[in-house]
Amino acid sequence: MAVYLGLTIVPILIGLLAAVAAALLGNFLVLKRQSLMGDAVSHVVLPGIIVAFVTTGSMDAGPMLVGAAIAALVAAVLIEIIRVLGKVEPGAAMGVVFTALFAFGIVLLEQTDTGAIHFDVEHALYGNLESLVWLAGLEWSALTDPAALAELPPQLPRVAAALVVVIAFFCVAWRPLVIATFDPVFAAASGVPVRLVDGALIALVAIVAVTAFEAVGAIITIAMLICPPAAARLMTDNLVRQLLLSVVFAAIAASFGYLAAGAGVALFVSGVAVSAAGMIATVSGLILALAALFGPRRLGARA
Amino acid sequence: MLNRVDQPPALSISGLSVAYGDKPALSAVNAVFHQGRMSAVIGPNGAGKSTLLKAAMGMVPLITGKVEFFGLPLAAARNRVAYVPQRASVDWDFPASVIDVVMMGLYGELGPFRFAGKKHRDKARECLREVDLEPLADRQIGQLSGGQQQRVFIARALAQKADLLILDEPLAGVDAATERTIVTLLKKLAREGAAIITVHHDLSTVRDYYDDVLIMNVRTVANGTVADTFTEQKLADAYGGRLVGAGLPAPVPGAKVEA
Repeated sequence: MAVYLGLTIVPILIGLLAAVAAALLGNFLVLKRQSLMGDAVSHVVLPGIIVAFVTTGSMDAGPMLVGAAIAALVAAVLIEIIRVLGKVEPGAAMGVVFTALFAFGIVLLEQTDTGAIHFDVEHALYGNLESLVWLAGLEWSALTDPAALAELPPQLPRVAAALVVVIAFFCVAWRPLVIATFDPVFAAASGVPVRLVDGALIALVAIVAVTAFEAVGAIITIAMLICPPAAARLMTDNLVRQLLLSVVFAAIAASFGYLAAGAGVALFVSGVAVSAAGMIATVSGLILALAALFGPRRLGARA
Repeated sequence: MLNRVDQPPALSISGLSVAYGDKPALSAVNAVFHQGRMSAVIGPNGAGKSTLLKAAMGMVPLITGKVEFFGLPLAAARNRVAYVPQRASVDWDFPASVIDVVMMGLYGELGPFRFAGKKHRDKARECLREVDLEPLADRQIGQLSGGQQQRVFIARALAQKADLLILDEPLAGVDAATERTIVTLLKKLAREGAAIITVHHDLSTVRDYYDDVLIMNVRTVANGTVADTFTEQKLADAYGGRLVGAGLPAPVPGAKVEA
């Protein structure tokens, strides 16, 4: 049994923490009708991370965050330029910029010799959850052994820290965040620092995207930002309940998705591994579909 | 009324200009709104009525102009001012109950961090009672009628305990009962000394509802008491030939005897 600790529980935990952090933030993107913004940020983060990686050769969180922030700025400027010069609607400008930058990131990744360090296109898209095992943690006693704990995958403390930052933000900024999300005009008139709150929300999306990205890849980040909150939105008319439900959905998707991918590997022993990230995103999509079909707030379900 | 000369105006705007891109939205607008008075802001579509109030509240960048609330800059008077946006400007599908929204009006009192307790909940209920909505306190806001939603917004403004209420089209698309409730309530607040400024569309009710009026169309056309200012000539200056085109009831200012 103990062998599951290092080989299954640790990667599930990493996926789960990343999923929960993304889902919490996603609630507010969904409520602001800015789901596309989450999409844009988590796409644009990729070229930023790669440029940072190529120029510094390091996969530390610091340079990656700086790279992602720069990429996000470049994207914001490009979106504005295209919107003004091209006279197209913001959604179109966003769509063009984030897909182009994402594609640029992929090309860059392929053209760059990443040498000994494992960092390739598949990794960028699907992450690497299956490999984030804790080989020193195959016995329960490892949980109290500092030497073994030191060998935990570094992604675990990183996604945990990102989740803590998100929860801290909600604790500190809850009232301004809710007021600014519901009624930004009233909020601004009442002295709520609307721009600061909005900016912090997007910055946190970027931080979660960067930390989650390396562990679980771009696909999960995008799925996790929107699917669990959108499903939770269909289940309740209470904001706190919606947040909690989105956390539950994210946790279910992360753990069941990971386990289902493992079962899939066992099922088709052909060696064609089912990507855990793909499976997690699929499960979260299924949850959304179920919520849309049976949730109390679905179209036509309300009195 | 007696102290009007001693009291600084609730809101004074001088030489205020705003542009959207290179299109001027407001051009050197001057206006004064007094305490204890019901004031209407009227003008044709695109006259910049909402923009004027938003600019005064610091939500639209000014090119030039000076805005003072009770003789003070906005930052020093913010807690004395309540702003009620247009009802259509928010998503009523938002997961919040009626009382949740009214509690948002306590932001000035509570700040970002202080916990809202039973005392604050009771205050919010009190405000809901004023607009006849207390029985619906725990209802999801999306289940209310348009008129009820507008009254939720008014209750939220009441919770702010402000001396100046700025309302952007509070009577747009509401039922007759709601209109009566809102107007009666606003008149009561004005009698108690508050300044009420509303963007208003129905020219036929201006004489019944308001003490003062600002007639504008990008610039100030006229600003003063309804008796002196709400004249056919001034309206023609503001609306031009568009009165009929705007679908407004043909006004017969001056012809109507005051109640």
